[in-house]
Amino acid sequence: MTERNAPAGDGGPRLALTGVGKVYDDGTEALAGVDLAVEDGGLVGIVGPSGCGKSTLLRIAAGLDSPTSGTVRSTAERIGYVFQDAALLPWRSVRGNVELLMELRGVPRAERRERAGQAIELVGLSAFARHRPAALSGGMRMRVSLARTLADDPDALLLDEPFGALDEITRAGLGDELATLLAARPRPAVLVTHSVAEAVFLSSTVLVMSARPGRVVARVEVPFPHPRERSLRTTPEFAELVADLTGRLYRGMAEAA
Amino acid sequence: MPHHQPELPDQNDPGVPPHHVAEQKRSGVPLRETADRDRPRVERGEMVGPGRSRALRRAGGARGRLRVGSWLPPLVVLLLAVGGWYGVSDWVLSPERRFLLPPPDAVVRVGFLDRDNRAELFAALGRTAEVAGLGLLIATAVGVGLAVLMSQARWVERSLYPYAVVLQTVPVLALVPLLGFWFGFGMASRVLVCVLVAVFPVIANTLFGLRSTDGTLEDVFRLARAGRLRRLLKLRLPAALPAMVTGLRISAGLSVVGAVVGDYFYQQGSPGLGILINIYRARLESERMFAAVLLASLLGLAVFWAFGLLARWTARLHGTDGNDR
Repeated sequence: MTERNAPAGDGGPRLALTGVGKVYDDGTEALAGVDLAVEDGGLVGIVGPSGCGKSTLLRIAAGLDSPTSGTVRSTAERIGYVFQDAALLPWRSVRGNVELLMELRGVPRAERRERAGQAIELVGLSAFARHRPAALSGGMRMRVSLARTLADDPDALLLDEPFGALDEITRAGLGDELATLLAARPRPAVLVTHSVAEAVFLSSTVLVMSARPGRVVARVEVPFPHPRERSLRTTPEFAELVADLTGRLYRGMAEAA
Repeated sequence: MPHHQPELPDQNDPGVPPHHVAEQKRSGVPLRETADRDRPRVERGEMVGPGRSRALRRAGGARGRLRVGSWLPPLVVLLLAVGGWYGVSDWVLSPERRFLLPPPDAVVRVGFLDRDNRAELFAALGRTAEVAGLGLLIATAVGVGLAVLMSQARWVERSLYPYAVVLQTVPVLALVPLLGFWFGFGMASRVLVCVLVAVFPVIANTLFGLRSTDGTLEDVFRLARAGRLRRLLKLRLPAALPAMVTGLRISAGLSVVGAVVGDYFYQQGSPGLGILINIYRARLESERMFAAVLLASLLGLAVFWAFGLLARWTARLHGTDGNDR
């Protein structure tokens, strides 16, 4: 059962998945009994081995896919979804791409221009507003994708391994930027990643999933206060939590095997 | 590019150094985000700067040589072919059989330098180009329209596509007399032949282009609740543009063939090149016949070249050729 745009204001979470399961037509069980609740302003990180149904979970949360069991409740009007690849229109400039979602939703031109300009500045690409995606590096394209989503001002943010295709250094840099952006304008968000460190750095709660069928094997609150600085990555507490979660991830993989 | 461009003293800034951005803006060449960052400035300044300009000069030189390399060999072949042509006309054929292959200068003299002949030929060329162009225009409209319909629902594609394939495989020459019965032996049938031979590549390529849009982009549009029409106009049609132009290029050539073939059979109305070729053949006026054949070939060549330009232009418009504007 999926309930979209349920009346808000009952104080419940913005986005709540209860007992969500997904069995594909060919009988593959991707997800089994997953609970996920995202409060306003909280970021839930999901880590799990590849093929554990993390992305499927996110697609179900966004309404791009439907669950075969369980319920989805969402009070989000606009869902921002950042995919693993930047998914930009190659014939449009950076500005044109950032305006796309607003354009599809019928935001007036002048407002579109202004919000796109702000979002582009936010991700540090003002000098490239007129460039086409083909002229940008992978990291820059990902930032355009992020700007496109942020300019749309979504009520909830779903991030599906948004930095997965990037090298380690670019990846950490974009993680820092994302932390700053989320701190500046908190909104409920889910981040799917295969990097435990990335999940810990960005999330207030981390869910660890097992291998297929994906289920939640651990739910850990991350104690570090927001906004988080880059220096957090090198503290012993951070390393300890990452090690702990990595251990649970491996146990989850072993159980399923 | 000057060797000693001023460098800003921000070498130790771990973030994206502003001069990177500035450099990028100047050169228009995208920089990798991290690759150059850790290298000493001296190395960057002394090696990459002038090194790059040398590389550019080299590339320019290579391109210059390439240009010579690309027109010289075909020119040599052309000269050899014309020489061979003269050889056959003057030495192989006896004077009474020379009409089988009149020498090039005779073709030019009789066909193009004689004012009346030239006028007749060019009027026919205009007619043929008109028929081919009109046929291509209709084929494009019909082909793109059908492809869009097919892309909207599988059942439409399943119902129509097989017949598009049939249309492609039926030898149009077999249909030509029939079309004459139905639509008369004039302009309408000539254009129709062009449409029939030209429509399939437009359908097939446009459909392929519409079908091969990026799945993630489709998701982006779905999440923004974009309707069919918006998805078609803002995503699928622009994405299909290069494939469409590829189809158009094939169709344009076929349409010229269709126009010349149509001429042979539908001889009512003002004559096209095909009719002239047929008439000159019957009268054994081989110089004029060769001139007409030459013009028909040049028309095909011009069309091929023009659509090549169009393809390059759309690639630039499309942002897939690596240029940023």
